[in-house]
Amino acid sequence: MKQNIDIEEFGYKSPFRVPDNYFSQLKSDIHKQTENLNFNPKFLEYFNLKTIAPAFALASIFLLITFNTLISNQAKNENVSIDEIYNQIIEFEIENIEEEYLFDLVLYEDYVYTEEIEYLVDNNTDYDLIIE
Amino acid sequence: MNKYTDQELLIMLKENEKINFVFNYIINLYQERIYWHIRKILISHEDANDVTQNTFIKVFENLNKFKGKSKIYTWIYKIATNESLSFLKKKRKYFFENLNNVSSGLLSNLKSEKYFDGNEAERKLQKAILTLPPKQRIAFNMKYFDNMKYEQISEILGTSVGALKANYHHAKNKIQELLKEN
Repeated sequence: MKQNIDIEEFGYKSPFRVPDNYFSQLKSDIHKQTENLNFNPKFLEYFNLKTIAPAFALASIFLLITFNTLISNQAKNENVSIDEIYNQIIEFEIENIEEEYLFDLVLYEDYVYTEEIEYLVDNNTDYDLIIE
Repeated sequence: MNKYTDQELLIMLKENEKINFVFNYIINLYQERIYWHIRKILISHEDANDVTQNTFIKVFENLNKFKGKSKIYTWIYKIATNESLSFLKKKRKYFFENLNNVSSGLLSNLKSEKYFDGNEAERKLQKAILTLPPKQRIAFNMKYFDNMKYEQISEILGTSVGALKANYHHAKNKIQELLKEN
């Protein structure tokens, strides 16, 4: 039989616990791990999304133009249609695509709510900039 | 321990020799809260311990770049949340699981977790919470267990207050339905 349950009655307390003296040990472990680390150099601030994205876009446009020019020239020289060359390139890409990407594509639903986080993590985003 | 405002800490951060002092202060102030935040996401103490340490290493490495555009606790919580989700993502890749189904792995963590003091009802509640998608689960935990304000959660997760309220309502109903069924 179904019964009415109100989760507010659980008391909001977390049922988890930690080993004895865990937090003093944690502090000491963190210090051990950071004592030989350096701060990230400040010049890395310039290598962030704001600077990399436009540079990447420009590079992509340049590559696209070069690629199209090369294909057109090749087609003219070899009497091969551009469509055939495109098909060959697509076949090549499909044969060589990493399984991991295919897997991600199949599980596209993930991206409904994780794409922002995944994008930021994959791009090693400066966390301070995420706030902006 | 003396209390410093974010503004005071920011001024100290500009003086390089005080960065270690600020970092130490931040650990003292936030390590427990950050640990518990991560623990509720990852369930396992061992995983939470690793991710908490990674979070503070990231904080340390980026402390000199912190500009005070957000509150320090928001910034650290955000790092902790991203580190936790990143950890789940790595696990998903390792086990070829959909991120939504990471809950099955977390459920098994819950079953085998030795640092769990809850009674049977609390274990059922945790199981029901684990059925929520990760981001919704994080928001639910922050509201339900940590009693954080929607505005704070919104700053950390980058989700609107309205969406968070709706999410909490849906999550609560879903959990109650699951508890009724069991």
